[in-house]
Amino acid sequence: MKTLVIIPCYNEESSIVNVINNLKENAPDVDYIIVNDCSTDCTEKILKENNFNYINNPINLGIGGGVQAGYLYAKEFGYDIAIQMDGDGQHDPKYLTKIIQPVESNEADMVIGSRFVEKEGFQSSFMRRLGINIISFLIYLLTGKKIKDTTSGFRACNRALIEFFSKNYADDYPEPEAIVSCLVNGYSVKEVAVIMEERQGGVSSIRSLKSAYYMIKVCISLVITRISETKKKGGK
Amino acid sequence: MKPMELVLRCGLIFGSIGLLLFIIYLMKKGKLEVKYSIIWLTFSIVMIIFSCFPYLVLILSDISRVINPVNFIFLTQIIFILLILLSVSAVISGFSKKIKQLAQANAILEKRVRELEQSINNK
Repeated sequence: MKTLVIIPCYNEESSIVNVINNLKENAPDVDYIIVNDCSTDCTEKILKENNFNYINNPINLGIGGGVQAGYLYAKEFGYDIAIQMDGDGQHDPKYLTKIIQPVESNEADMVIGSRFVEKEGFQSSFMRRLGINIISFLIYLLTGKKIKDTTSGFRACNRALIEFFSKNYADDYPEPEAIVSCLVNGYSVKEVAVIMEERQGGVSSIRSLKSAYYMIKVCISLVITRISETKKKGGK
Repeated sequence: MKPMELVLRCGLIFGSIGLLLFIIYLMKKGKLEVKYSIIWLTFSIVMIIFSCFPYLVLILSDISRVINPVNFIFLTQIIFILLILLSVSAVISGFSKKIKQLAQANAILEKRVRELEQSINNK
């Protein structure tokens, strides 16, 4: 199956080379696409010099818009499986086969690499875990499905979801929303255990001052996603 | 109930007619699209009706238990302003989605062009 790894990348000049070399070493048979989301540092120069496979967003679209550009690319070039992986070295390409496998065997439409299933490796700070647990509980209330690592950006999905995501994907902080929109639209989601590293470079898209805004925005959008998709279904 | 002051009434009539003419002028110049002008046109016409027939305002403020009729006019204006603001937010949301789609399509095109140029240069 044609597999594409989507790597959203914003100001990752310090880590991107390592991430790509690591990926090429561990998974030589998958393609990758780096989505350079209008980085302000030397990321683009580095991508060009190393002759990496990348696209450049002409304006900064945020993580969601960037990843969606990757899904569009996957759709246009006919990939069967797309994997999201961060450009900061948090996600180890060793686990690629592990998260691809359930998608390949049609066990689930989307597979999330979760750091909380076996509670190994980098576990994030207490406040982050609290936020993740609140979101997890909200998703359980809304959809009846227990997802532990709701904000993990390490996920694989099949062709049907590639097409779905290329049309509907949230702009900022899209990870939890994507889970809910998958579940209410009848796609199945599965978590597999992975071990994550602490980021090698770059900053998280969720910073301390923005965390309150993050929680409010995510909670509202989860509820809205839940009710809007049900309506769509009822209308069909 | 106090009848509306003559000065206030004249001001309202001139103001609302002026607003209507300005909206029509903008539409004529092509600076305001018809689909975004509808709510503005409704607003200015309602204001013209209110200022030409103050008795209507008296009745309406009596029904809605608004003590001072001029407050009823303010209330109507505030409601319209809120509606217009909300519609502006909705329009902006639509634009930001379109801009996003344009940027994504552009990004993929740029890659194709870049690779095409490279393959031509390498020949």
